[in-house]
Amino acid sequence: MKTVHRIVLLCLLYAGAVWAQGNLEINTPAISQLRDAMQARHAQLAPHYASGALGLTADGRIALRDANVVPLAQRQTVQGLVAQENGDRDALYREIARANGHPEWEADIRSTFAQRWIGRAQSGWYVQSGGQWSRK
Amino acid sequence: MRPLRRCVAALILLGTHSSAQAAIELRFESMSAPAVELSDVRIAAAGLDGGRARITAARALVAGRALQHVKLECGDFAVLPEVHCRGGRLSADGYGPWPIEFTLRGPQRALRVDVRLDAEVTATVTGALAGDAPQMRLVSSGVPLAFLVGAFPALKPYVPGAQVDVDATLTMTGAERTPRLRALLTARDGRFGSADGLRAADSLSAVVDIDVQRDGPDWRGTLVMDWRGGELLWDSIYLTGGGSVLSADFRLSPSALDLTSLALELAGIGRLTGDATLDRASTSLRAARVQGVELDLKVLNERFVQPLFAARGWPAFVMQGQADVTARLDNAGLHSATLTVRNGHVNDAAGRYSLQRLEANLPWRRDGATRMRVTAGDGRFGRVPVGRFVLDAEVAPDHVTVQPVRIPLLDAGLQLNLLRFHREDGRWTGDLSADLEPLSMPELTQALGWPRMAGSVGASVPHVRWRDGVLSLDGQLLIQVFGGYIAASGLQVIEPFGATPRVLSDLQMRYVDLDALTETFKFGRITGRLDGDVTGLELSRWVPLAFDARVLSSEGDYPRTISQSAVDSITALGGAGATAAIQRIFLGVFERFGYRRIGVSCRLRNGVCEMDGLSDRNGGFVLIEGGGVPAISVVGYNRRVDWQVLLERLARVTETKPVLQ
Repeated sequence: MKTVHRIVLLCLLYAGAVWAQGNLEINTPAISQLRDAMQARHAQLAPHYASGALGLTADGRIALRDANVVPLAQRQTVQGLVAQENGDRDALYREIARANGHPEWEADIRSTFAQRWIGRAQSGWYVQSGGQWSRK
Repeated sequence: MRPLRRCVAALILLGTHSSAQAAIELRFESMSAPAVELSDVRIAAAGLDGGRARITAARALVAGRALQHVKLECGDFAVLPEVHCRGGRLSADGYGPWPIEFTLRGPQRALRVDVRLDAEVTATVTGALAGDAPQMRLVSSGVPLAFLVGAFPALKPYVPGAQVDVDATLTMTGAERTPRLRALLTARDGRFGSADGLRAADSLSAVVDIDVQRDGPDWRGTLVMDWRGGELLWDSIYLTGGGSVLSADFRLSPSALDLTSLALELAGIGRLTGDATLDRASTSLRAARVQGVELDLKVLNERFVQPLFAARGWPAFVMQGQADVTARLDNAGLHSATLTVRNGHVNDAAGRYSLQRLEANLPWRRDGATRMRVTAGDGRFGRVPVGRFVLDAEVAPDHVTVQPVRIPLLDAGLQLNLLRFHREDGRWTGDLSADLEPLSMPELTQALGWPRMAGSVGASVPHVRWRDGVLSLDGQLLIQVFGGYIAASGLQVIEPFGATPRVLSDLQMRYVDLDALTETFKFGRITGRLDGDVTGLELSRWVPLAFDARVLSSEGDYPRTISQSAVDSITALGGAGATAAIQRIFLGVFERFGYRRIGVSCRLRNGVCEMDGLSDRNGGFVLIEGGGVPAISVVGYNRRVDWQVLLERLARVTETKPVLQ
């Protein structure tokens, strides 16, 4: 697990809302593709994290926790963004495990990523713990 | 009417027998009037010709809607010479108090009631209670919807709101004085929202026209709902603008609501008709039938199918054509349905496939197998044209079996020998086996927009399994090309339709004709045969991530020559600095050279190709070992080449070099 934690830390330095520059060993084309897609999407998601419409789940995904704060005409689009983001997040965890030659690490990587995403969430964002939402 | 009139008569009679100044107190177990039933009614009045009065009913049923603790207090109440209440206040549990005044006068028992529901909303009831056809009319503007939806508890979680103009007329017809209600409800600024916000509406405007009359214990009538504007979100479906009309005949019995001649005009899509029965006790559907004819698939897809796909992150497609649909539902949901498509066109939004001139008959039933047929006039897979084919399939809740079919591709065909899906433990799995008939490479490469290749390509797919989002090949995928073959083994395609499709495979290439290959790519001409092995090939989104590849001249006796132009291409692939490292013997004098062996390997990791050759020489590695007269050897020195750079160089030398004849 220590190795998993180290990998996730490296990725998070490289990735995320959160994505920052870094020079890491983990930089496969698949992870780069996912990183670029998530980075491009983040600008669209960020206002919805801030408004409380979206939250970070305990399983390393995001969820539409309160659509009421999104204008009615945008709710359909936000649902699509959430589906795309979760597809990329699932693929990211799988790819990191695979790129490090340990597909069986996927669950651990997901779990550790989830903790780190939540730990690095901005003040005011909603995060999930024990099935409950709380505001950072 | 008669019971109420009797009560009033009794009141008057009692008042007459009492002193005009004495308090009157009356109690009735029940009273009734059209659409009104009162229980435990108590009247306390100062007198018959004026003074304060208080009328209460423990329970009231008004048009089927139950009210508790109804109370009417009048500042001035009289029954002589007319019945009136002035300065009154009307209330019930959860309603009011509302200021009210009413009068009832003359032989026609002319009624007028004015109720102030709030500072801006007044309801006025006028009518005549006596005569052959007693009638009452209620007119009110801007009534909050909350006053009207109390009768529908199922709507409460959606917190509906609207301003409603009401114009309702109640008449008593025939000898039986059968009540008939005609109501026109015009709603504006309508809105509702579920707790999670995924079912919501805003700025809705609609007109509801109801004509209903009593029929024994039932109510029967017609209903027309015209959605004229606003926004509506229902899970993933978002609609704006209105233009949709629902109409039906209905019968409301104590146990059920039957809707017949049901018609739903969906703006831009078409018309659905049918009938339905809803159980009142459980507020659930008992049965329904729906038919739609000549529905517009384009609009239907844009409004209802694409949003469902997008919300699940599935790839979108564009659809055109017309469809007929029939469906039967029962209390367990969809029982059976048939979709018929005429002149349909389906295009993947990402351009991966398209099918044109589709004719489809797709029956389905929950409890048995059906036979579906899809006929495609033509189409394409990627850039490869697909000819007409007919797909027959048996579809059941636990399996889908496609009959063997030949799908024409250019001058050949793809023979689907087996395509079967079945559900086991709630999971769908699939099996496929297919053969690609030898396909003309000139035609294929032209269709793909690639450099023209000679020969043909064929393939055999013995068995592919689909399990948990992974396509796995049992055995080998054999592709005949350039006079030799390429065999793929251990092939897996992970989530081929997902956001990040991945491919794992090993490849074996044997006896590929270099002459045909190099001619095709304008690389310069090399004659000879090549074997190759690629192990650990991994693609993500169809881009190579990793592999170990090695190609080597095939064993055997065949001409081995390389043109000067091909030597230049190989030089260019090595990069600008590699030119000096290539040994050139007699270059410039001869156009062709002999060689004995070709050998090169590439180990791709992290975007870098680590190269090697036949053997080491002078700090470099031998790519081409010379042989014969004149001979040439090519030695590479750059062992680490960026994969993208290598691809770009390859693209340059294959596109710009002239073809040697």
